[in-house]
Amino acid sequence: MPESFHFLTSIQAIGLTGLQAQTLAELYQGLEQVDGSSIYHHTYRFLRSLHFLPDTPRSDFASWLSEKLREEELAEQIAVLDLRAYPTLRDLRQALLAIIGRARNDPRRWTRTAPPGMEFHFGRSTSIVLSTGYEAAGQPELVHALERVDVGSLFFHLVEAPLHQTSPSPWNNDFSAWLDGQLQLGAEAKAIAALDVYQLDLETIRERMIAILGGKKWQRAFRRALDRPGPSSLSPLVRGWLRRFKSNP
Amino acid sequence: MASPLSEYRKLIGETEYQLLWKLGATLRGLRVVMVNSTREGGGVAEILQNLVPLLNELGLDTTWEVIGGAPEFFNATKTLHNALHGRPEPLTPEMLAAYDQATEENSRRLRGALNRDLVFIHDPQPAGLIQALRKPEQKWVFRCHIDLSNPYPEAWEFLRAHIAAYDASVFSHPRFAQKLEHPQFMIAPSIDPLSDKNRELPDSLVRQTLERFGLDPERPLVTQISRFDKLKDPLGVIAAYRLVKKTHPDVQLLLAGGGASDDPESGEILARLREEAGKDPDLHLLDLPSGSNLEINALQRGSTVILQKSLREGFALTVSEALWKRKPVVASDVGGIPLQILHGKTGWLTYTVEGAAYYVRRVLNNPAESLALAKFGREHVRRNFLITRHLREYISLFHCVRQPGQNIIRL
Repeated sequence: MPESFHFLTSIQAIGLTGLQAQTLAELYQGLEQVDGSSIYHHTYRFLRSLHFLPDTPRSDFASWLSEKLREEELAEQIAVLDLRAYPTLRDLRQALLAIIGRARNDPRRWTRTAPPGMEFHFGRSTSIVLSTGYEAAGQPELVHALERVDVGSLFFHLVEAPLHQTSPSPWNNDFSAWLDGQLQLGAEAKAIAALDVYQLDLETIRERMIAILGGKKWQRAFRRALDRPGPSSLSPLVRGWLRRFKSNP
Repeated sequence: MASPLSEYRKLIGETEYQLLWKLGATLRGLRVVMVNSTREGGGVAEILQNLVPLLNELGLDTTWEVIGGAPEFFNATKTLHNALHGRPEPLTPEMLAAYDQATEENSRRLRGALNRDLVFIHDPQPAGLIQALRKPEQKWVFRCHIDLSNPYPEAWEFLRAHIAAYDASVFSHPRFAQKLEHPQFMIAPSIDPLSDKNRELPDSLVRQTLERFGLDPERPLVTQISRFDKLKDPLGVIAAYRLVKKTHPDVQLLLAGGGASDDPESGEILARLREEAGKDPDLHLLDLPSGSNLEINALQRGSTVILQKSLREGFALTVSEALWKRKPVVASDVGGIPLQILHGKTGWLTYTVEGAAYYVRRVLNNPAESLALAKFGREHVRRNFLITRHLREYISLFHCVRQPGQNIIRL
């Protein structure tokens, strides 16, 4: 009997460390000192909260380097980091330090200051993890839940939870690990693992996952109609029916 | 009148709505008290009027208390407020005595009301209550709505001495963070999409409002809604308008604000603006009485471009208000504005009069581009600056304060 997949989601409480940087040197020192939750916050918050924007900013570090220090090369190198290659925050921290450290031998760049009021402020995230109430014992239930959970839940299982893993896993996300480990669906697991969550917005990722798992197009259309915010052209009767469909998994 | 949570459901979507209920259930019965210095008027009271009923609806037993004081106390806290914003205004011994006396009186009066699990103090006026009223089993949170990026040192030392004993502080922007021993959090303020200031209005009402104030609904209108204050740079706005007027002679400018009737400084600035406006029939100055929320809503909706050309800002929620109404926004890169305006994505950030004029012209010349920006601006506000996000973050904060030092809190 396979273990069920429990859909969790997380919300972030944003903390402030009081630590700031005005130069590359200070940014480097800050990156050495801060907690992993700070690296996580400044790298992943865009993916969570601004994924709907075209050309979503990639990282607070990259944005600050580009906009306030005019360090376009370093900014681009950080912005285009393939985050899938850094399975832990420790790895990511080392990558960031290596990139910024390249300017260390140029004192003019290393100590050039951002204008007053444009300092980099190190924040941090606390993840509040809670159940969505959805769980799946097999592939059809997984699709059913994928149709309904918030994108925060997708983000949690695709990005956040793997970063917090203490033991190594052959999979880069929770869905693939479960599909392979519990249902022996290696091909589906592999296809989901290959989705580039850092290039596609989370709604597109949801659509593709459902397609990989054989979800029906009409079900996806229902979910979209229900979740579309704002006044709807659908009659109250139809909306009520859709809501029942949604809240009664 | 606050709206029930169900009224927000169609705006925030089903999943966010359900998430709020699940989150509320995790702290059902927690006894919270909010404390500030006024029941009406000002952004803090406006937010509490809506948040307190919503927290209760979600199951958190939340009350709201207001401190009182003699005029000398409020004069002292106004000076403190200005100094925390960076003005070099010293606190006199008389002011300190007035603060201590009011704190003592309020401590006596509120002793029973503040005997709750979590005490949430808004701004410096009630900050001193902790000294007499804190109980070991309680959590106390200090919520600062003021721009603390460059405080006058004496004022900051005064405040720091009071807030050191708190379990956490909350600021509206990363730039306002301070060196403190306890954890600090960032929670941005929010707008209420169902309030008179932000709810949908019929086109006919928007048109009538514009006409009532002598504005031509058929011609482009550039608007800045702000109190008449040097830090909002109204003269810079007029200078930018004049640059725009060279290529768009039909453009109108509206500077609408309040406070001139009871604030001598605002009155002086309004007089100076009237002088500057001269006899230009397309330059409109409106001193609106407090509570003109429907009028502000209609004026924002009737505008072609919204400007917020401030020199300093706390958060500038007028930007979110405009974005929510799908308006193109041109605003300065100060305070909380860059959190709301992502340059070239949800609006335009500017640093100078010439820059402001350039981007206003760009909006007027490129309606399709402006429409796209406005669409993403509205979505950005829907996800990140509505009162429901504020509600979610307050409940998250309560968890963090109850379980300090954790990077992951599993509920």
